[in-house]
Amino acid sequence: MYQTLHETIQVIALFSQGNCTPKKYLWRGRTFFIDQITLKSDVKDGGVKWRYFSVVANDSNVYRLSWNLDSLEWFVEEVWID
Amino acid sequence: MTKTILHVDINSYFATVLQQENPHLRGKPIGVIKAEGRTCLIAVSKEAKLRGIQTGSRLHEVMKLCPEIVAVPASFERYLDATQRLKKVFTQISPDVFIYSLDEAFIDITDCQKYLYPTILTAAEKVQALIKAELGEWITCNVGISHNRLLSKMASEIAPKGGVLRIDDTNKDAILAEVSFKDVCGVGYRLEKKLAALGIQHPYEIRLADPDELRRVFGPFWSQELLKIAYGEESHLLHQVDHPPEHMKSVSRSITGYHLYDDEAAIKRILYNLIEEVTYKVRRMELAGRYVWLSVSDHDRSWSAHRTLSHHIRHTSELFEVAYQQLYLGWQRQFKVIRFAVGLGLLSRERQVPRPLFGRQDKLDKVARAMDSISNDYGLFTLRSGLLLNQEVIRPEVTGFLGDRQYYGL
Repeated sequence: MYQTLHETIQVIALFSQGNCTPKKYLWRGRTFFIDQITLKSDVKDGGVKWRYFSVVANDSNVYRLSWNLDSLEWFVEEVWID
Repeated sequence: MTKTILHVDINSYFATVLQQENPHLRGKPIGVIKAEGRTCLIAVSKEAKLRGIQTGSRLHEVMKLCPEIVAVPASFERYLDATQRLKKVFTQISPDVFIYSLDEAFIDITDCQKYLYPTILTAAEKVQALIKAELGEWITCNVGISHNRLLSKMASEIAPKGGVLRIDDTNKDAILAEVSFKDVCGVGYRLEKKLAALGIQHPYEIRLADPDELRRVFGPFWSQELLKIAYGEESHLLHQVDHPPEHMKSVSRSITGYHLYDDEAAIKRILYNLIEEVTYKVRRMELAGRYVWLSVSDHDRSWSAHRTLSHHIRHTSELFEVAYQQLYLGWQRQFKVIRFAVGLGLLSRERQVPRPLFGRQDKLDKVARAMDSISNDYGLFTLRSGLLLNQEVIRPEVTGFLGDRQYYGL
């Protein structure tokens, strides 16, 4: 099941041809390399747009990252725990 | 001119999207629940279906049959976004697209077929490839092809998972003689039961039934509809796709609670919460309605009431006054409640509705405009009644059949 976190992270992302692709992020002092983006979703909360990235990181676990397109802040929202 | 219509049906949509998102779930039987703590499976993966688990089953019952089932909460916002992305994919095939439900669409390629698709199968395969490219490799779909919506939908229902099936004059009668009514759009459980009582198990057999008896059992409308289905012609329900209403005729919201509610304050809060969502949607679509209904139920019993007003309403306080103060409080509750539903119907364009000369309408409009502008910028329920403070707010969520298609611009 997914465990809710909603913790701020620092992200290195590649911006190319109008797309943003997160490559790695720093969370709780540890760097996570993103192996695969499995799903992208755009969600609007009022006037604020959020982009969600579901990613598989270097520990082969699945994380849901969110990017506030208004404030440009990144969060790790949830982590999958078997 | 003979039409060519594709019907695209994403396989086990809710579950497949979650499996696409999470490779740990792929190949496993998963049951989608509405939220953490819920027990009803609102969708199941194809692996779960192979183990005999059906949508609507209870988790504790399923655990006995399939202990390895994984229950995962639904992610309605993602499904809606995925459907919006799918619509963009479909419009790459043809501009004539109708999103029929969250996971189904009709694509009419009649006009562009001869320029773009050398064979009809090319169009179907292109849809499948584009869906995988947009949403991910785990997402598969069935594509049905025929000259009308009834047959194209039937084709996608009976096609193998991830497959393509075409129904044309060469195989139409054979399929109508074999297909069961659960795969026929517009024939529900009750109609199927009535047909079975007449010894009719497949659409083709309706052709052989006595027309007088059909009329006697099903009435003038349904006897004709069933005959259309028997000959593979488009039914009234699907024909309506060509004539979408100018605006929504009603807006409603229902919810099944986590437990049975006996506390009047809690019931009041839930109803207020649902009413707030209904009126917000009505105002966003610039509509106003004058038919109010309310329904509550427990596991076995239900109670409902409705009222047709002489004037149109669109504000939370107005709907709450009728639905809660007049209808609900006018009833002596006899059971604990788990399911709540409220709606506003007979909707008209607000600008076409006569405005009252007297009263507090202007004041209500001004307050609603101010509140809606905050909701539009910061999200619904950012500003909310004191009734909804210090509790989890019930937020809008999309339904599988996409009843509020027009609200979401699909």
